[in-house]
Amino acid sequence: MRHSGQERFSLAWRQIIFEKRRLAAALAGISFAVLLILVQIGFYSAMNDSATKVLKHLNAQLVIIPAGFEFFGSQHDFARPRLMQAAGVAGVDEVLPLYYSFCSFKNINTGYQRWILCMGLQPGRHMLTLPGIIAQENKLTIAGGILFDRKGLSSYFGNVVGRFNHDGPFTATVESRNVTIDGLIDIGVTFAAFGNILMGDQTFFALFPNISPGLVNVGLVRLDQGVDPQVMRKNISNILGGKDIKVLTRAEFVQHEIDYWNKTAAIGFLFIIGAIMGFIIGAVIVYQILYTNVIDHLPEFATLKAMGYSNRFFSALVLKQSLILSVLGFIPGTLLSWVIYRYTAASTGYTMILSLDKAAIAFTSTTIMCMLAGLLAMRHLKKADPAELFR
Amino acid sequence: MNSSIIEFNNVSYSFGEGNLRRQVLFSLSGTINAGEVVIVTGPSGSGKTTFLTLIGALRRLQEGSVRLMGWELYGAPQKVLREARRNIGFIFQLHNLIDALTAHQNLIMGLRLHPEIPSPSAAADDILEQVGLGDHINKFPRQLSGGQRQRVAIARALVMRPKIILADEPTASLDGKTGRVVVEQLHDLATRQGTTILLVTYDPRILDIADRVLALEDGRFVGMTIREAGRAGLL
Repeated sequence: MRHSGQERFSLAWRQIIFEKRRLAAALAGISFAVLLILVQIGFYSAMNDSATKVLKHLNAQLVIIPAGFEFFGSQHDFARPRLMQAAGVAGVDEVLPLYYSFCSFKNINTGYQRWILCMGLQPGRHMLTLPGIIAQENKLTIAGGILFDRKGLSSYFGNVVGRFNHDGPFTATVESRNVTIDGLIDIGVTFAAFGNILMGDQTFFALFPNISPGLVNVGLVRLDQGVDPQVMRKNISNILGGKDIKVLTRAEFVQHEIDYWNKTAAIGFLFIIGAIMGFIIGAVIVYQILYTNVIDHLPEFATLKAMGYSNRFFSALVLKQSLILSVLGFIPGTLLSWVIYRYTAASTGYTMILSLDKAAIAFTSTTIMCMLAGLLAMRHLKKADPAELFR
Repeated sequence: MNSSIIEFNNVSYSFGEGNLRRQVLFSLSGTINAGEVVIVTGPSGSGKTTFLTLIGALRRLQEGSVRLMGWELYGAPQKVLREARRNIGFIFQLHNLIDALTAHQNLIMGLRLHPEIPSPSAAADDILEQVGLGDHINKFPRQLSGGQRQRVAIARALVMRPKIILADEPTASLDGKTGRVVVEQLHDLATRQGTTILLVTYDPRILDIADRVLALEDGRFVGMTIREAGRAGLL
């Protein structure tokens, strides 16, 4: 009984860890697949997050947008009196117009003109709930004062953040006019723009003499407390009528934006293709590993068959091995992705968060990928014919 | 000891189809008694290995009947074939041990199919000691010599207490002296357990362990004694 307890071991596990080099190759392959999947869905959700960041932080339950509205930043507007009409509907607390326009921003280092998205707000009305904005909203009352997007691409606009942190407020050029960068605010790169600037509506119309305050891009509709936004959305829609505007809840507005980039612009598709590529590459690698594992061990498997082991035992063995590989490969793959997320976030301004749901998606796809590879490799098990051992 | 454990009647076997069809066994019949040590010998291509795989339920019978420990193998379902195999200890030309497992664990893999054997770990160590590998219990096959590996394979076959041992040239990959030692150990342990041995071999040095020699030539038994077989150059 000296060695009692030693009969507890797993053949699947032992075989996997026995060939260290093969294991390393398998883990490298699976990690790579995990990395591809995670980075692609990371980019995808980062793009969606930043594309909808301002929309999610609109401080109103409902919005009114022009009927032809494509995406946040597209040049569509509606007549301001329509918004005022909504203000008269019972249950509406107040309405606020949001103006925006693409404009040229002079790169503070190179002097090149760059496109940036400018938003004009009514100061002091808390139209946006972006983190840190409340403390800075008084800056929007200063004529010519703007808040610059901390996550705007520095390669595009120059090192605004560095200069601001070093010098404090400084003068920059927007639409060939001088403005003062009075503060920084986190928004981020979107599909539409490499950066954003916020300003008070006075400054906005001073910069854009051709834009009329009578044409609103997005109307914010704040409701009285305890009123159901869905009911109000229908009410306002019915009362206002017309084909020039749409009334949406904030969540619907966010979804509208995501749908535009994913369906109309088909940008989401590119990322999904990338993730699928990762999945396929991973499956092929795992299949190769499991396949060689089966082929190399055919005599051993045939011997076990001759002893009386059933086909089901070997199928279970291969599936167990593919599961073990998926778990073992997932760990380094996720750690590596985390590093890439950090790096990408730091260098591009995208919000890259390795959230639990992304990890769950990656883990599920990795497991499915490995199981598929295992099922394919299993077909070679029938080559393990004990009669072939006698030769 | 004279009850029959294997009976085979009119066993014929062919490989290939149509024009390529080649018959390798012709109506073989005979009986092997419990506890007997039988050597099957014959020149290369005489069909002796095919014969062994048919007896061992590793190949489907095409014609004739094999009764193995009461099971009829002709047309038997997979489940019966598997059950029959569980009662046979196979020893192959190459040891076919599982590289990723220690000697001890290799034996345990066999014992997992035999829950009726008590304290498997102790049983495995015990039989490894009996084949002289007491100091190598926890070594991996690649850490052992050829002779040691074949002894592990023998221990693996015997630890399951099979009624029958089927061995296919177990000494082929070993040098003469080692081969002799290995076969003697197999013989001693098997006879102690009352196990029947059916052993295919070319090796004339081990013929003396046999109670009986079956000589095959072109798929037919040729009646001869050990001495005759030697003289005929079959060994």
